[in-house]
Amino acid sequence: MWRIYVNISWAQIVVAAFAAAQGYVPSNALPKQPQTQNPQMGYGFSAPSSGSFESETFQKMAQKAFDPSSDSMDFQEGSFQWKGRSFQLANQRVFRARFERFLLASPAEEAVAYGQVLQQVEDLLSVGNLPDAETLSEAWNLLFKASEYDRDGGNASIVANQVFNAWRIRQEMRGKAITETELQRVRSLQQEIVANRNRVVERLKKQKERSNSSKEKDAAVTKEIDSSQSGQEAYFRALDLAETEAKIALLESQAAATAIQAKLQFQSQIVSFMMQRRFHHAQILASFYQLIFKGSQQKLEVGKEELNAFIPNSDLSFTVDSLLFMAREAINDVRVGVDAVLTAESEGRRLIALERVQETFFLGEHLLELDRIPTQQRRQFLDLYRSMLEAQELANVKDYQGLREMIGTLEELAQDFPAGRMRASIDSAMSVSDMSVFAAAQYRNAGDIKSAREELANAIKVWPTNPTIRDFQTETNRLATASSQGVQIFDDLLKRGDRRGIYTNRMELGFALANDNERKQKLMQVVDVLARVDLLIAQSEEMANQGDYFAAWELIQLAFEADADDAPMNRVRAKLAPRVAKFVGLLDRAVDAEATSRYAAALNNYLIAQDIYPASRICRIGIERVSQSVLNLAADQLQASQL
Amino acid sequence: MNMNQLRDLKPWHYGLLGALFLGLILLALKGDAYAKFDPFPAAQFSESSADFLGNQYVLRAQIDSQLQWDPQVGRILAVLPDHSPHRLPIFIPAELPENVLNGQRYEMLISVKKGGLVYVEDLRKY
Repeated sequence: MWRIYVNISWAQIVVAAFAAAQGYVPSNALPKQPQTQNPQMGYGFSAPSSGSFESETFQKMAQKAFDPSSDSMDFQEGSFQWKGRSFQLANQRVFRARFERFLLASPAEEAVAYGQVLQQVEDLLSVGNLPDAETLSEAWNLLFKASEYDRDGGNASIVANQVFNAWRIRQEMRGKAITETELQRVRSLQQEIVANRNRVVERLKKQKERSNSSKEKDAAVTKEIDSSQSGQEAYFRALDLAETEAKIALLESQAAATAIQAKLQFQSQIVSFMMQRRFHHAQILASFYQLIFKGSQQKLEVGKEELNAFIPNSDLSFTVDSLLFMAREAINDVRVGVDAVLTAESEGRRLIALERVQETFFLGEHLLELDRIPTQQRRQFLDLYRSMLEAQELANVKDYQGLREMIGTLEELAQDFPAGRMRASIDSAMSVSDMSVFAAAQYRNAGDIKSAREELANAIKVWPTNPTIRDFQTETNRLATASSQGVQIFDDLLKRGDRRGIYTNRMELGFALANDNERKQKLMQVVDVLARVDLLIAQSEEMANQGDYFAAWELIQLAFEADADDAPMNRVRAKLAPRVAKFVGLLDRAVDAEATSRYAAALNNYLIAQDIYPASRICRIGIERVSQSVLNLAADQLQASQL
Repeated sequence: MNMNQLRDLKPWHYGLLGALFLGLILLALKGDAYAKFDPFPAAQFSESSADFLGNQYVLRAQIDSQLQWDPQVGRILAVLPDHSPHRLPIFIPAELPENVLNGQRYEMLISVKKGGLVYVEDLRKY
């Protein structure tokens, strides 16, 4: 696997892995090449298939924890649920803008006066006050006063206009009723005239039939002329009657149409106010409707589709009364919602308070009850709301370091924010990414590029801004650059016997010798030996620091046996030698004696050295080995003496 | 004891005294075999064992441990000589049927053989 190592375009790997992890490039769109490809063609990239459970778990948790919106709000569907009723929420940005504008605003003093005017109107229209025409007129006049306030937005004028329109139509209908009565009287007169003329014509016809003489014939001609004139008059009278009948019919149809039109306009405006969540105006207009129109006209004829969307899954027959009830219920619910917000805030549950204030704001955006939330609390809600949105953005881009700081801010803003749980989740995700980078470095150093790439992609996926990823890339680039000169450097170091130099530059040389099996083998041997030497040096120094110089010597002696020429090792050895001189002298004499087959003398020296340092590993092994040689020597001597 | 009393002794009393006298003579002769050798110079031996090759000494030491054992050859022991802070390896051939236990003290007749081997020729507890 080392053979393919030097031909890797690390930049390609890193960039492609990053792109795949970020979703910029679909993994199946990336070029896949077989593992048996020609090494000179480079290493093909294919995105790893393994996902990150940690990352997904964190994302789900973060989306929920950092989402300041209430559960009642569904920005994907664009709706707000309230007691089974669905309002159009618009998109999240629009709602956010309106909500932030509310949090930035302060309760105005004029709102109190405006609220009093509306309350007066509602009281006057209340059925309990048995309102009469004068009361209605008083309430109607107050509407113009209410419309003068900015807070009203001119909606009171709309109510007043609707009422005035209804009254005007009623007045017109009264005038038409008078005209219709007059026409009916004219029609009766005309009907009598027409009937009279018909009777005269019939009498003249009968007289003509009875007269046959000439004298009578002359007289008959005279009467025929009279008869002909009577018929023409009857005809014109009939035309007058028909004209009167048509006028009456026209008046009747106009009256009916005008009444229907007034009712529909009124109902449309009530539904419109409900949809706009202007519950006070809906309530006032509905009250006017109940008082202006008779009981048989209370069923809603318009806005059925809007109401069906407003109250889904309902087959109720909507009436003005039901809309009035809903408006009152909404006003009351906003009042209760504001109470809940203030209570939660007083108990330090600001996160809950923020959720409730959003619901309450959306439902009662145009109601005065929201003014009970003081300015200072609005600012605190705004800070928390903006911080949560920012934390949500940071979580989306997986900027865990920034997110940790933001959690600290959120913790200060809201005591009930689950900071500990989120920190633990972040730590877990960061650890997973760090471990993946570490594993990628291990795979890279071992030459397993495919696994290194997979681990790196996983690290990026879990934590794209992980600083160790940049370190990994920098180190990889440095190694790739150094690899071009590595062969010459390795040969020079090996020739000089500078194994420490080889070990120090092992990473660069590893890249350089990736395709050279012979040198690579030598490199691995040197690395193994020097790694052991370094470990022994470290252990020896630790023993010396603890005052156990004999143990330190024994460890450095093992390092000496591994590589007698290593400079760092010899420095430690020279530093230790004076402290264990007698012990070392005995061991040296033992080694010399053993080398010259004077085993008994060697054994003697080992025993004396062991008396100095009873736990000596070198002495124990030497005694075991040499005592056997001594026994063999004795056996030879016994055998020689017997001969 | 006067002459009269000597006359009163029975023959078996004379036999008993003779045997006792003979035993004392034998014991004196045996002790002389160790006494004619010098004490082993353990300190000097450690410095240069080759200088002592072929010499015989008497070594008084305490058994420390057994290092090797071969029933046909013998055993290698580490002993702590009297007045010495360090142990010394010795070889006891199998032909010396002595039960040697750690901690026991022995007086040993030794000779230094090839390779600095301390060869025990005889030993006895003391």
